[in-house]
Amino acid sequence: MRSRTVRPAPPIHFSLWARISLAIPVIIVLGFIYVPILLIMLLSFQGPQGGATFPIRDPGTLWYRSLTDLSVITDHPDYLGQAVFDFRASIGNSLKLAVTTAVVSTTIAMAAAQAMRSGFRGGRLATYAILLGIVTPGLAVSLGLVTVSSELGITSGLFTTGIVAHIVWTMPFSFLLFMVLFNRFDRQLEEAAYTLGASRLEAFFTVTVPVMKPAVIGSFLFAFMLSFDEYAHSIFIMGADRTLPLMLVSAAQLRITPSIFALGVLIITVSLILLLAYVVNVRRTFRRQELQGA
Amino acid sequence: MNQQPIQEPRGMSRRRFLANTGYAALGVGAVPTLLAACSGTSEPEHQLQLRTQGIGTTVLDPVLAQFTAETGIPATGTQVGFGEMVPLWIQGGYQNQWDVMEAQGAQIAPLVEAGTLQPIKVADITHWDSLLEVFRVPGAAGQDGDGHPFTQVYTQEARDSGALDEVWVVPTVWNGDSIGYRTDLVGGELDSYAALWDPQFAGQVALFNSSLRAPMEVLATFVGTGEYQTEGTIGNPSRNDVDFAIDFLIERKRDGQFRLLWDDFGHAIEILDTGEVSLMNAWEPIVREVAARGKPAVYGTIKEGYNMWFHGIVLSADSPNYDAAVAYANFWHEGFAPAEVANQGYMTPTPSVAQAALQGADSPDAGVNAWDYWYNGGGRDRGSVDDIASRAAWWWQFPDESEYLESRWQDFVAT
Amino acid sequence: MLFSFWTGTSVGMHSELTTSNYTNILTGRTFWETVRWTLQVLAIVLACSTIIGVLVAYFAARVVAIEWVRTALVFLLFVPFVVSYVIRMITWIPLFGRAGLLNTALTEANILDEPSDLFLYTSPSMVTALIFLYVAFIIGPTFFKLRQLDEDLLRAAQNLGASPFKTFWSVELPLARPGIVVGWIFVSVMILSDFATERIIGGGLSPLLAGTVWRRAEVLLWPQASAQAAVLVVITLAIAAGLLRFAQLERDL
Repeated sequence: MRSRTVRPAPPIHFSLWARISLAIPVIIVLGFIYVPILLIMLLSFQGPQGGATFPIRDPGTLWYRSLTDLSVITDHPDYLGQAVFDFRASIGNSLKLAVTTAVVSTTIAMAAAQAMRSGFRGGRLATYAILLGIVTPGLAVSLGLVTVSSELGITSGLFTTGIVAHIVWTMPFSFLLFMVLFNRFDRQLEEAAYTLGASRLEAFFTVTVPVMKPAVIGSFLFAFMLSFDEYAHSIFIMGADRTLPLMLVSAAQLRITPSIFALGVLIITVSLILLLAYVVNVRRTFRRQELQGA
Repeated sequence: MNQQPIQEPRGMSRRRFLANTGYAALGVGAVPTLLAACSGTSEPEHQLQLRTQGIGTTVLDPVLAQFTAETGIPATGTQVGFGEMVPLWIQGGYQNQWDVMEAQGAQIAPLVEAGTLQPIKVADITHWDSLLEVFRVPGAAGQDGDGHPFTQVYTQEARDSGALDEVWVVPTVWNGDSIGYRTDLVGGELDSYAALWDPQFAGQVALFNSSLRAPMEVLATFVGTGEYQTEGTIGNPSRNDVDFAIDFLIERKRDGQFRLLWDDFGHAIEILDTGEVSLMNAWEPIVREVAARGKPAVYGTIKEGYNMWFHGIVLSADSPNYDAAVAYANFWHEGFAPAEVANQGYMTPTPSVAQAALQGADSPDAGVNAWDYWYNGGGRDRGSVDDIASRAAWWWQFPDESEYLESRWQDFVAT
Repeated sequence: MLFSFWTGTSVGMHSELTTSNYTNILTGRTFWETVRWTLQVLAIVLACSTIIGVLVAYFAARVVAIEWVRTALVFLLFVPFVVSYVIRMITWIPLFGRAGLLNTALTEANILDEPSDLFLYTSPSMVTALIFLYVAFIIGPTFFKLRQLDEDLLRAAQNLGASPFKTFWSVELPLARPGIVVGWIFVSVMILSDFATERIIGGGLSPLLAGTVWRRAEVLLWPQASAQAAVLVVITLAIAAGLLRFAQLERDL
């Protein structure tokens, strides 16, 4: 599609003052994002009495340990008897749902993107239909889904209504990712493979799949994270299965325990590592392709 | 308990009827085994179990664990947000997911109306005669103008026939809501809902985000002063009563009286603790918690009376676990659960049964046991259990004009 | 498949409409007032986050000279979106409340005499929260568009003696426009779907449309909730479709 790689325009040389004043919005945005996260990190080390208040009393990793064993809080001599929450079951549910959602939505999205790329009548319409999943407010999807399923006599749950809503939500993002990558990837490579006598299937597996690897991994990661954290597409439709966001909301309604912050810190850390590994990997792949292309 | 034959509830559902005939026809054949394997139980016979749903203050892991330890009945709980309880139950398929819900008084009417409940026989509730009279005796002191909670507890038939032998709900916890305030910020003691609308506190007031609370408090205020006479009752107002209350609230909102609407327990504690607001219509444990954090927070003893509420066990119309539900309700009336939730400000409807256990439990005041603090007038600004039970302004309920009330409440919220 | 959910909403609505004594929610003044207010908030948020977002994207794409710093910056802007919304929102009271960090800092510095109520539970605080919650969705696509611009093009502009501002205004901004539009679509959808911020930060007294849907559903008025949800979907689709005329998601992302 693109005949040559675009060379990104170089940075422009600004005076020091211009740079500083252009940096101000960046600092404000980063501040709004990271001051709360710093606060979460500090509060997660709160002592046994908990509370979202400063200064931190009796700091330690108690609430982290409480995620796997509540008795470290309830058996603590300073425990005040406040509500504590066991998130293990909901984390398990969210992991199961997020992994399944990620696999299914990556598979469907890849097939859909491949179909769109080959171009067919109504392709544009189909694209919009897929993108509807992003555009439709989550609450409306949940309401509609639970109403329809209850009329059909389907019991709400993780792998009935839950997974449908989550795939509707994550699949369009995966789809976009594939489209973006397809657009960047040289169609001629595939055509060259055909010319060299490869069958369509061979070309797909030897040329298309390796090139799409970053999109596949990216789509999996993205769909996983979207699903793991999704609240609006989970209200009313999970039945007796509680996912982590649902559990977090009902827990926070009762009491904001530092275990909620500890969970937040763990989620940030794990996602950071995963994303970082992905970015490094993708950059390496692209660099290799560029070298091979040159 | 779990070895007893299953007592067949009245109005056995079609689905269960079919299922049971299926079992009978096939005996111990392949289908029940397969079904049992799918549902994770090893025995082809029905294994009694308890699956409960409710908010996290009543669906508690320690309570469920103790219940299983005492009765041998396996128990699982689903903790959901208050607003999600009934939608999940009705739309999400109560038929297959839960045996009981720990419903609040106002939720019972819609659950009954949707045909999702089966009645519970009073004879199966061990401590029924120890229940406070307000729940079980017609015309007892503390009931509101519509006879709540008595009318919410029994089925229509049981009331009409006078037999009083069947209930929709077995009450398990109750309390009265009033206002909470910081004496350091309001500069004194408050004893009326009128404080919520007092211009001297403009911009320092938080209201609970529910159409069933502030409008009733407006009515209670003006009925109290004699300036207004309701056509309906405070808890079940007529359209005109609703208009009176909402128009007043809108006017006060325009004058900047209200800082925010609060939604949940954790949030409410934070706004009173940090002084974000000086007073609010509150739940008792919110105020106790702020006081325990060392702030001069007081739970108002209100001359107009409390906004009373209760939660109780309701049984799914399709549940095959009638005995488990009854056992769970009975368990709630004994000592363990009431002691477990005492410091949440939840009182048991069977104080005489639970007294011994409560005397052995701690309260927010060191050196005062939970019984003396919560039930015996030992809390600093708190009456005895009979005091509180007799001082109802209205009981939390599902009003006849609920749709109108809700749409007018939206007018207030969005104005 | 996707259409079925959208139509599902209306099917569910109709089946309930017949069984419920349905009050004319859609003719109510309050409802349309809420719609108007929601659109007003959306317009303000879009305007502000476009200015902020484009400036940040420009900084990342043009001012930052070192490659890894640029990558790190973009990375930092996006990572927080994996943190649960619920968790992030909880910290706003200790930050912006009367006894919060901001008020403490301002009173200590004698900028304010006493703590201000403005930073929490007001419309401006809600708008501010919405801007910073979703501005990254404008930064991202704009940044990628700016990075795709060709070196030769900018060289040409510079060689013709254009100042950085002139180049930005007449070359880069027009070429980055599809990215901005894609960002607008994302932000519009996010804000129209957001039913929590108006309560947690806004104090619940100036509700947005999604919030009123949620309220109705909570109090068991499902037919009304479904009817309002349908209006919400229509508005969202109309805005997204309108914006899509100026950009193609799969091409301009």
